[in-house]
Amino acid sequence: MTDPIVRLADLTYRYPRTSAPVLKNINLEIHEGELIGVVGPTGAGKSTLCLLLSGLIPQVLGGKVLGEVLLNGKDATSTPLDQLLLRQEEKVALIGLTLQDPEAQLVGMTVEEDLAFGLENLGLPTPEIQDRVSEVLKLIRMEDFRFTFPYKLSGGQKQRIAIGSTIAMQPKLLVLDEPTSELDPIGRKEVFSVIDQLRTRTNLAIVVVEHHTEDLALFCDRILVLNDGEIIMDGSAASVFSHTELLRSVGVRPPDGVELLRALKELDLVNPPTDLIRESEIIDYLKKHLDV
Amino acid sequence: MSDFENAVQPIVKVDDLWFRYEKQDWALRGVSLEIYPQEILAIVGQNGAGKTTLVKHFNGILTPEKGSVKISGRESHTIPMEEMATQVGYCYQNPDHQIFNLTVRQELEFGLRNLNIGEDEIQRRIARVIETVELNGLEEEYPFALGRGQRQKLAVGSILAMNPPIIIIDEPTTGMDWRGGQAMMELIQDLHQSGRTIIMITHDMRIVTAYATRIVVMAEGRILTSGTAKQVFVQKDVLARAFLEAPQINRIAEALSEYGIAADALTIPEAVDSFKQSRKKG
Repeated sequence: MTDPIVRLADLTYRYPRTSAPVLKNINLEIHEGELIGVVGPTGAGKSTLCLLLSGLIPQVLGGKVLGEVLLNGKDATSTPLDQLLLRQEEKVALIGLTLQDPEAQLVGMTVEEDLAFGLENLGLPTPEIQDRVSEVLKLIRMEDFRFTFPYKLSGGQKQRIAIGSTIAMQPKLLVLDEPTSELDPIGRKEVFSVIDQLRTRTNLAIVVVEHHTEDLALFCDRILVLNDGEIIMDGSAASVFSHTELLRSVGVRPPDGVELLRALKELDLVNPPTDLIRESEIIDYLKKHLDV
Repeated sequence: MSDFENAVQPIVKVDDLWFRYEKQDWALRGVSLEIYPQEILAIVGQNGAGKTTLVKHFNGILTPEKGSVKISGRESHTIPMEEMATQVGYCYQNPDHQIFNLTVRQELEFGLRNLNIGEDEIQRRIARVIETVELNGLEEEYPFALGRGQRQKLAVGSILAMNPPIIIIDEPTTGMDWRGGQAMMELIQDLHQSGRTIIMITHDMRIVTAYATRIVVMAEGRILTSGTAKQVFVQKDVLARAFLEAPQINRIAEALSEYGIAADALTIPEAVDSFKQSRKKG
């Protein structure tokens, strides 16, 4: 296996001017190609984890780190930020971060300008910028909007542009902090289909914080559950989402379909394997076992 | 429903409402809608469907280009602002757009100070509202030091202080986790039970299913359909036109309808009952 993109060992972190740690005893490795969903109640430390994975903690935001934080093998507490986050000679970023509100990171007058912004700052020659922008437009399925004013787009489209401008820099790790929380259902679908597209077409590692466990069940390989600063579960989506009671006890709503199977099993109506978490699998299973 | 409608006058009556911003395309294209006292009405649809534009007519922020909007029988845009504040409370999608005072108490007092009521009454109302929205002990806090859920409750509280019979809440649970969202919805249910009419805009179909007494589906400036969750979520063609999706339990139930499962089951208990029934028959 290749070296991990992220390695956190016995990590504890507190913000400046707060006494209690926000992240506690975190041990985590992230490898290329992984798509990891992060769930947990408000205040669990999800956004702080995103900022840590993005290299903004501790060097930009301060605070105290105990334990080890390695991003692409480099110590995030001491490596100069330009070396930690960029690989200048290859003109790529190592890590990209996208936030809840896409408007907070839209800067250009056209979609093309937005996607090119980071690349210009990396000092890429214009033809290569053009190539990368075209490639990204295809990945985020926005080819028809190259010259559109970003503020005219729908919420889901804006969020795709925000993701696109991040992946244009060809990072190894993409961190998405609640990218769908302000979107309507169709916008949410659009964003997840782009995430899925990135997963199949690139080797990018993706970490996505999201409250909708039904979407995570559909797309993620691995789920982290954070509660009160600690990782209380880290496993396959199937194993994590089958622990419905534990999830509920920390304020995470399991997928409804999983809860339905659980309720039917308690009544001895069916006896499903515990790893059924996707809607289509649940429907197929029930079809087979109703056909009496 | 029809008996109920005959007995009670609508508290909001929208008649063939047309509206556009500046000279752009029509944002509302002939909306007609009657809202009755003590409904929890959910307005759903894609971003840009016209939901927020519609409700901004209810408190007179917008004036119809054609058609009319009446609140308890009066044209909404003719009601003076200070009176409107006691008739229709409006909570913005982002609570931070309406919070601007330095303490929780000042935020709650602000509207009341414009109402020409006595200091005793102001303090009585604030004490009651703080109790209702569960901000006890936080009266002197800086609002932006509160969590998102608490700021949303503060925004609702500052509207409750004005004691309006109609409360509009735009995306009551956005940005909240499951527990925070549930706490918010319990507050809304309490307000409903104390006699208020609730109009909420939301993308969360589970909230709609669990709490709304009626759902209005909008797309492209029009109302496509209206009814209970059971009546609306079986209209798959309408959902598709509005880019909406029924809750997951309903999608599963529908996929299993040929196996004897009720296609209109919306909740886990309903679906479980239907499974039990089908087993008995089988």
